[in-house]
Amino acid sequence: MRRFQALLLLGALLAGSTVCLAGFRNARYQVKRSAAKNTRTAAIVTVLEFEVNSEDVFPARAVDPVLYIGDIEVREYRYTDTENKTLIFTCFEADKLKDNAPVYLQYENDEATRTDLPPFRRDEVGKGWRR
Amino acid sequence: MTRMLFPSVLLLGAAVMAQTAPDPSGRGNLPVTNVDYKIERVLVPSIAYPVDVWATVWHPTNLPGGPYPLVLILHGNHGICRTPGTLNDVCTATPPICPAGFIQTPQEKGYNYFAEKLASHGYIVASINANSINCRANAIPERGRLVQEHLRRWSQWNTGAGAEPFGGRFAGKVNLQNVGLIGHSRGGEGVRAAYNMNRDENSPFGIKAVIEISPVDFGRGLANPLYNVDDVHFGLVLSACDADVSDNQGIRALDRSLFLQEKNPTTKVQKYVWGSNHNFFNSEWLPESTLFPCVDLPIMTTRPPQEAVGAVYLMGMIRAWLGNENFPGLLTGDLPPPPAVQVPVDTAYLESPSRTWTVENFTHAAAPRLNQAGAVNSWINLNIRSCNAGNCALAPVNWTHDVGTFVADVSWPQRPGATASLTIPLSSGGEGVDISQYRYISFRVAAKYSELNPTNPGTQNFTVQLSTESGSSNGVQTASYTNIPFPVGGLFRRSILKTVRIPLSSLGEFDRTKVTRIHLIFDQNPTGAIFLTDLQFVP
Repeated sequence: MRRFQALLLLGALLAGSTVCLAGFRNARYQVKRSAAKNTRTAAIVTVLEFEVNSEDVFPARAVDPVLYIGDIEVREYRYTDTENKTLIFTCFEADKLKDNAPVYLQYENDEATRTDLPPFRRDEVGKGWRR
Repeated sequence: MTRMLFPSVLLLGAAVMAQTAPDPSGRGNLPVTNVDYKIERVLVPSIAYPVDVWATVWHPTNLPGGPYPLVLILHGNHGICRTPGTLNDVCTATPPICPAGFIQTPQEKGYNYFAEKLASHGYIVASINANSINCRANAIPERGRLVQEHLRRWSQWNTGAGAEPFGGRFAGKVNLQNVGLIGHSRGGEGVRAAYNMNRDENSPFGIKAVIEISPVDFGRGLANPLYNVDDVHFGLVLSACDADVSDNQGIRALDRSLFLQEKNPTTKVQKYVWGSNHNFFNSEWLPESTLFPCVDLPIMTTRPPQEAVGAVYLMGMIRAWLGNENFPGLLTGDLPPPPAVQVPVDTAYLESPSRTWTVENFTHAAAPRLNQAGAVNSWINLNIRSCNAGNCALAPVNWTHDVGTFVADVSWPQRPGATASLTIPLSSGGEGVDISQYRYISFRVAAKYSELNPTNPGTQNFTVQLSTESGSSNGVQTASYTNIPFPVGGLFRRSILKTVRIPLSSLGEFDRTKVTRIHLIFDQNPTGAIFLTDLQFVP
């Protein structure tokens, strides 16, 4: 089995330059409190918006980018401009977020795109970029 | 690109015969015309924002005769604004509106390479632009609703009075009871959604075929509805080097169809195309990565070979299922592909559960000991267990099949003593069963990622034999019908189940009215490890 694992590792290394094995470069985020319409209930609710920025483009793919904050998956997102280096994720479950929860961005189950970000800190909301 | 004939293609060809399946991708006799329609900012039921109802249409020039079957094509998620003169596409904050300096990405034109030719065989083919829905999260149900809106428009254009922008041009020319849907990427699950929505509304449109190219299956895992493909012909074209839907999750729709009894028996076909990438099936899309580290066969770096594969299978499925044409061996995989297909293609061909008899799919709570007939399976010199989902293969190997699909995880390390074998009785009492109404024995199988297996271009191989109350059939080797390749794929190898279909006639003379057992005898390679399921008798 060792032979196969070595081949796999080689494949992963080769992939690094092309499929973003190490994630998106120089990624950072800031969190703001906002109001949004819940697309399912149409109610206006208070949300947290996570603005994620990188020097790489976030491509439009079949699978979606997801922001993982602890055990919460934030799947609602939008682009801000045609540079496509910024995504704004809308978290409708702000009350469930745990302080110091680990944060990372990843396209669904494509682990090659995993990009680790600083932990979520409730007292940092509205205080600018975290990297 | 250099011709990429892989030895296993040659092996299969040599094993079966020199003959190949016919090629349905040629041009037909009818001249064709291309016209676009675009109705902007339409409010469609169940879509929260206005969308453009926009498509490019290929149809027989002047529409002689008819009515013609209607084929709708839906692309997937991709950048909607293009820098003119390039294929560089990006998203905006306000889809589908692009800022100054950009044009809207002509996603709908990306399937012209087969849409035009398909029309020349007597089809109206409309390829949808869904930019209004792109660059947003998920939006699978919205894609289904958009397809429904196009069908409603076609219904209006088909009436005597017609409607804008076509007036009476298509009046009486569209057979809305013979509709095929083709979707790519998110468009794949999108057309599957449309089929389910149409059915939920008592099927105002007769959707006969759903065909998906490298689709997603968000319904399994996300909060989306779970869209299935029972009671409709289903085709699946999967890219072995897919750097986007890299787990080939669309395969799960085919898996689920095997558990759904059908009122109108249909067929399900999967073509797993080695070397193909996600994006080259749309000629307007740049490949996701031409350096994606595909294993055993390089990723395709030019479009023509992949578009040729797409044209063969997409046109073949539509012409077979909507046009009732026969292309022997093409969809079943019983014959090697036509020469236009230059890469290995692994086929799963499955008849409707309503027409087949599934002897064993390892779903019994006591599997693999007890089978679907309630009989006791037995084995010699095998390691065997039943598994599904994450129990089947752990990292680094990716197991994609639906959680409802159970398989036998079988291996035969070289051991002294009797030849390894698995025996599956057809009845709990041991009495013979009449299988004379069936023509094939079929099963799904995949090689495991294991050093017990030969690596490509070798193939796993074993013998299949039946017992009767009075004797036994001849044994035949699986390699006489297809190869069982070592797992291929992209960054991660995947074991993708394919079918082995063996004509019962090839088993020689035996009493088909009193068959007692199926024997799989692992006598062709000294060691091996496979996943096995869906042992069926097939008409």
